[in-house]
Amino acid sequence: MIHKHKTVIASLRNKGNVRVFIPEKLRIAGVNYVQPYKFMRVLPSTQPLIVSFRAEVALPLEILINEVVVTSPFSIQLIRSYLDQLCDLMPKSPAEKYIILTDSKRGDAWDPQFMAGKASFTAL
Amino acid sequence: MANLKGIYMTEVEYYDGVDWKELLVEKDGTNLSAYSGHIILYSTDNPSPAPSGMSVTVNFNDIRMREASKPAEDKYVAFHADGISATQKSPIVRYKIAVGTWTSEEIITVNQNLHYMMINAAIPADAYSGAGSAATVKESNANVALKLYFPAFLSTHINADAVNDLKNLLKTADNWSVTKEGPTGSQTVTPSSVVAGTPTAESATAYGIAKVLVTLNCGLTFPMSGTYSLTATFQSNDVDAAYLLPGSHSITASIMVNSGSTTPLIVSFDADAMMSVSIAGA
Repeated sequence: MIHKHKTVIASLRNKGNVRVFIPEKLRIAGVNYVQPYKFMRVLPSTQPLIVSFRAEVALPLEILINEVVVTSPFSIQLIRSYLDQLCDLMPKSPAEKYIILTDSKRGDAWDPQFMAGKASFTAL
Repeated sequence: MANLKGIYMTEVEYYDGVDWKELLVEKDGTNLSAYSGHIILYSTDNPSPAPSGMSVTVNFNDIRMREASKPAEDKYVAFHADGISATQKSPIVRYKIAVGTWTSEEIITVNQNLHYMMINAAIPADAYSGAGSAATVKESNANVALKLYFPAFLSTHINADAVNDLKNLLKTADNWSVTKEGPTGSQTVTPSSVVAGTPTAESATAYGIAKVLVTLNCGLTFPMSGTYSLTATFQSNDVDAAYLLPGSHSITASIMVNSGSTTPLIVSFDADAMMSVSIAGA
């Protein structure tokens, strides 16, 4: 939504005083949509120490990217929890693809325990 | 998957022997900061899904550079009066890796961990001189400890973790090969084990700020007496070709023709007889 000329995600605080962000619902050409939000954490790394006998150095690089897409209300803590769980899972099997199977219901979204990051991932 | 736009080195500093200094790179008398700016390792106008791993190259004699004051990419050098001295042996560089992903604009994410790099690793004309390898062998199948010095740094220069990283790199036997040349042709082996000592700054100026003693324990054959030459090759972790260390170690084999003898009469109660053989030089 547009607030003070800026695109923002609507939010409010729940009973546990946790700020909850609410994906926008859109209606375009008579069809209802939910605006998804994608959160991404990028971690590039290389060998901690590289030794070269020349001024030209080839760096073997690893790029770990975790992405989370949400379509239901969420808190920052929940997103952090998702990304932390992805970081734990990804290095073990980087070729695997993981998706969120736990789909929050409206009631869950307002539960402060759930918002603290109780949801989990299942590997496909 | 996120689309990869670019890969960068940023917050680049070098160790001048006393302290870490911001790396200034130069072109036509103009300096740019590789600390606040970005050294470009990879860049594309057509971002595509990021791979999980790739190899990128940086040439400190020809650095692709971008900085806020010079947003257009240009090429610079790191070795100049206000940068890394061209005469500095085995300079150490530290940096952070950044990745640019593309959505509607480039978003650059920096890994806050410092990474280290030793470039132009310097070894004098003979890496084996004064290291203390044995000058002779007396067995035709001998375990030889080939000793050499390798450029290094102290934990007080960088930190203990970096010293351990260097020692682990050196202690990996598969990173080394030893070649023997002599009267009976050549033989190349992988050391059975490698020992890396404690780095020292003493008498290390030809190597840089420090050197470390490396011992390559190898099983080599010396079928006949004569003078053999030993050389070592090191495969570093920079995805470059293996490097033949300068110099060689000369070793003299004195192989005796031996005669064997045993007890004149052996009595056994089964078909399996154990005998003790004594070998003496003839």
